[in-house]
Amino acid sequence: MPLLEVRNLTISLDPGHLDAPLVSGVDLTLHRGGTLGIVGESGSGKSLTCRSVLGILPPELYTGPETSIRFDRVELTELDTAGWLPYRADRIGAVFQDPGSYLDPSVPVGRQLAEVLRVRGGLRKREARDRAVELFTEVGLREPGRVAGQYPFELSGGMLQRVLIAIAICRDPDLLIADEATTALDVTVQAEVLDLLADLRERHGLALVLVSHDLAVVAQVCEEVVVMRSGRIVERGTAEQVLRAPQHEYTRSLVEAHARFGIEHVREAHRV
Amino acid sequence: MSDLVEVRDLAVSLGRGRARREILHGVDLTVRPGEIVGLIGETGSGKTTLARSLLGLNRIDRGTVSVTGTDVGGLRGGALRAFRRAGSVQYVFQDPLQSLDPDLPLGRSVGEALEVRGSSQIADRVAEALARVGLDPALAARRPAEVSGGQRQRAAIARAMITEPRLLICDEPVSALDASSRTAVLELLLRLRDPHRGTAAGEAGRVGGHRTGQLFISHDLGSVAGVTDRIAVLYHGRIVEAGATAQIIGDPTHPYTRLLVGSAPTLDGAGLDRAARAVLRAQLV
Repeated sequence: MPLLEVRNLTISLDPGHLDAPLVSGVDLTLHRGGTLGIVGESGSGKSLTCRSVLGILPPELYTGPETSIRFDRVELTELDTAGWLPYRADRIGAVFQDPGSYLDPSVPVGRQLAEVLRVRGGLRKREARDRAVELFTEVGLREPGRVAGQYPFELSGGMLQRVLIAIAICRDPDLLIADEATTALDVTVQAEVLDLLADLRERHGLALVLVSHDLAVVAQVCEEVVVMRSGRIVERGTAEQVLRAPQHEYTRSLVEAHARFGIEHVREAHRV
Repeated sequence: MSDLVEVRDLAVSLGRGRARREILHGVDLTVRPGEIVGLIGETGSGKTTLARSLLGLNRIDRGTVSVTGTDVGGLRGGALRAFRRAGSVQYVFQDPLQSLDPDLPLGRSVGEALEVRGSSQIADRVAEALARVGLDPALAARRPAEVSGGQRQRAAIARAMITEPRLLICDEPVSALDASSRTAVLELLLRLRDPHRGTAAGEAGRVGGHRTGQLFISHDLGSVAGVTDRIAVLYHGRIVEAGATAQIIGDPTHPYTRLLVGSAPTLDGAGLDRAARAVLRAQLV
């Protein structure tokens, strides 16, 4: 039984679904502890797909009548806001591109994590504070006790993303969605955060959805990959298949861009 | 003939009073005509400070900055304005709207430098400049918001190239672009460098009888290595490694360069495994 099963996801600005949909006929399957990469450029529908799984589509958008999103055997599309909350808050964690914008600039980051642990986890104030420092340690923040007392503006982009990851995993979710979570980071920091996601997955048996415009980023972490273009899935397969034998013209252009301008090309030339 | 850019032992500090900090600690950099030099570094490494120094926008503490034979470190006031107005150095930003006026048709922005100089046949030269970057000259009538991100960036490059600069500084020119536009812009920069490659479009790079040199600034070595001839790696205000691109990628020596090359996501997986990266990180702390 898959952990997440999305069937015929269609998203449109029109409640009657007569106009051109923004996302159309997307099917996704993810098993417990599995990894799924979604590749696509801006406007491809990859973020809307994630948002619909989290139940946070913008209010002017509608999912189609045929759309089914099953998470651990529960049909999420039938839930109301209150019914969705335990899934979004506890069982599905998410991190996005700009971690700073999800934090309150006037509250130390440790207190923001402790707040979630108190409200959602029922921990007492003291316990929540200690647990927050433990979680900061787990996500690889050096001097976690000191970081907990710092405000968002005092932390680098990589540190902020680790704070957000700590918040996303603090309720021990089954699924973590990382939507362009490493895009704004320096390359070496991106690699650290990708390593962290891989570590967390191994330690907690987390299932992971990793969304990126960069096929190579996704292929590094994920076993299964789907490529989206203009709201549709144009290619799917194992990372190996998609990289070695891309079928769709768009996927081929992504692979060729790496081969021509990436370091693969230079490395090959140097070896010869 | 002297090099386009000759920076020797450059030290620059920014900030005032107690907040004043040295950002560049004795940097050397060379760009020759017709080559693309990658300046690679992470956020806060000093890349943009170095680029601004080439435009004479920073007071320098020590060293020399020579650009197209002019000692820009010593330029002040009217002499600096005259140097910049000459247009022999042009700058392309990550966000093309830093050089394209959102309220003006693209053609006006592209031809602005010619208008200022009172040049003749501006419309023809704008059309030619747009064609040179692979844009339909009919787009001259559109405003920046009416074209795609990749087309906007190409228009910004057309605006930069219309003055026939000897040095083009591109600051993260493709970082905000999607894969397909990114490829088109990188191909364009290659064509501008090498007028003999390709056919009619290959002539694009031959401007005013000289070959434009490019300084390509990026945090992302992995996606630009294919366009650069040489690479200089800037780390905490110092050039820690510089050399031919193939040399830097194939055989990096400084721990930061090794980490950078080993962290770049590639289709074969990252160059180094998790444990190897952890060792390099520990060396850098």
